[in-house]
Amino acid sequence: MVRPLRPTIELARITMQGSFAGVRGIGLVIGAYLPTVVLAGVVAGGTSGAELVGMYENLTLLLFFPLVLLLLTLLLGIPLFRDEIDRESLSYLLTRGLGKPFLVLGKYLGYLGAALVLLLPPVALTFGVVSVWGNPPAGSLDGVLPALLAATTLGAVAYGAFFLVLGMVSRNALLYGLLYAFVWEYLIGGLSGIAPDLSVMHYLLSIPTFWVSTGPLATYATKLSLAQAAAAPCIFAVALLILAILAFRERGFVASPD
Amino acid sequence: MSAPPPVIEARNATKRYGEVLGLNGFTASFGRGITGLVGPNGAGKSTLFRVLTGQLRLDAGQIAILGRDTWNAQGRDPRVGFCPDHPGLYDWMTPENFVRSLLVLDGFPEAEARDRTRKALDTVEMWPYRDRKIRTFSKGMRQRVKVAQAIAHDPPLLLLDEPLNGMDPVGRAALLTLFARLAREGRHLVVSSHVLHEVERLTPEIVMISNGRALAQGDVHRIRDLLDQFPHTIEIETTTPRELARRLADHPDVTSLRFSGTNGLTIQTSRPDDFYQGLPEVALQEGIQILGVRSLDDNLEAVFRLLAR
Repeated sequence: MVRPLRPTIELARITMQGSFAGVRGIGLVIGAYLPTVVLAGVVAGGTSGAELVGMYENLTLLLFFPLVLLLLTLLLGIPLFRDEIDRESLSYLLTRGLGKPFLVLGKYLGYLGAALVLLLPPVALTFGVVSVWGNPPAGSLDGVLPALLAATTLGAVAYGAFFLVLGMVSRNALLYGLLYAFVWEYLIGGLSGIAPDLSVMHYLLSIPTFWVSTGPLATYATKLSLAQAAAAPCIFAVALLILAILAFRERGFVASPD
Repeated sequence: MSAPPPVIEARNATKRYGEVLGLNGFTASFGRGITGLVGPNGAGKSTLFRVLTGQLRLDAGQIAILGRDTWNAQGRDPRVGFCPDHPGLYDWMTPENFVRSLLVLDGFPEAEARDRTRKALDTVEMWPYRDRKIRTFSKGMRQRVKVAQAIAHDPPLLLLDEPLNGMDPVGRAALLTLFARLAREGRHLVVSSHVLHEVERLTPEIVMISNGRALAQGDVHRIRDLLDQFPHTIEIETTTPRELARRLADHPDVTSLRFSGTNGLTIQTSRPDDFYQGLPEVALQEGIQILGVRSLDDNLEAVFRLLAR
């Protein structure tokens, strides 16, 4: 049996490379920097101070998390196995020395690398635009950057695992992924009772409340502790990756019969 | 001394795609050296390869490569090299990166992966194009890259699904020469094709598949000989077809005859050996000049048509 560490890293590398290949890569980068461009436009238009900070936090809640984060992780995660199946290139990986669990892990790590490279710099850059040129009130942005970086990372971890499984098991993964993103994640979190606990977004939006003291990010309604908010997306991801490995070991995948 | 065990052994292998049967109780064994896998489109050839490479799991039956089950066999010996029939490749990569990466997935150290990559690409004459992106390649070039990745790790068994697709005649000849060399070096190859005369050039050992079932296996000529129930068709070229037809009309070995072209006569016989033996005497007795004799059935296509009936 092949020692899996180096081959897994190599698979992660080529997965990352493939994620940014072609027109799709350009589209992903444009999508990731959209909030940055919007905020920069707002700053250039003369908005500043507390009004800008409020707008920035609302944009993060209404545009970045539910749209940019979800969509980009969907577009990165679903093709991990779906493209291999549809392109019928899975055979190249299956006739190598790397076992199936490490194929799943390698794909996921490649996704995670691509997702973090894609998502974290714009988060930092947007924060930079607001804090450097937006003349924010003193203390109004305290804790915002680490909170957003943490929430984005956990979101990438959780959503990536979900979309990897979806792409592996469903031919209509894109449709179901969009339904999940815009119906389940977007709407469920707005309901009362235990419904929000069933959405990953609820845990992500809870995280800034522990670091940010003012503004929309601080006032998101949650009963979770920081440990719960951070652990749940990780547990969700681990469970889904185990499911992916089991599915990969138990069933075959082809685009169509002969 | 007992015969060596088969390289691939399939017993009642069945694979369904919903209501469609990809393999339907497929039972056959593939021996050492080169074996041709022949069948029309939709016969189950690619399904069989997908099972052999671990992409698909059988619903019933067994398939083993040198005694090892094919499902979840990654990393276990014997290794397999696979050249699929579809054109899908990692288009954003160069062939050098593509082959080298797959070798790293096989566990080869970086330096050895680079050496093997060079050797494999050189073998298929793609080394000069090593730095070009695969998406710029023609069909034939992509095919060569697929063959390169299949041979780069020196697997004992090569599964080649329509490996000559998209190749120009020179390329086809080069690949056929390569496959023959690999077999001489001790590798086992299963080559599928619907271009039957090319399989015949490569090997007389074939497995015929249709509708997911094995129709026949063995030497193509012996298979044909076994089909005595079906008349053999023989074309005779002669300067005097009418005289020959008159003489053969009552011949005991001839079941039917018809004229074909200006100088041709096509006859059917269920006893070809006897007919061939007697034809010179008939020609001598009648003073008939025979310009050529050709069996229309002693090839894969004819055998397949007959078996698939």
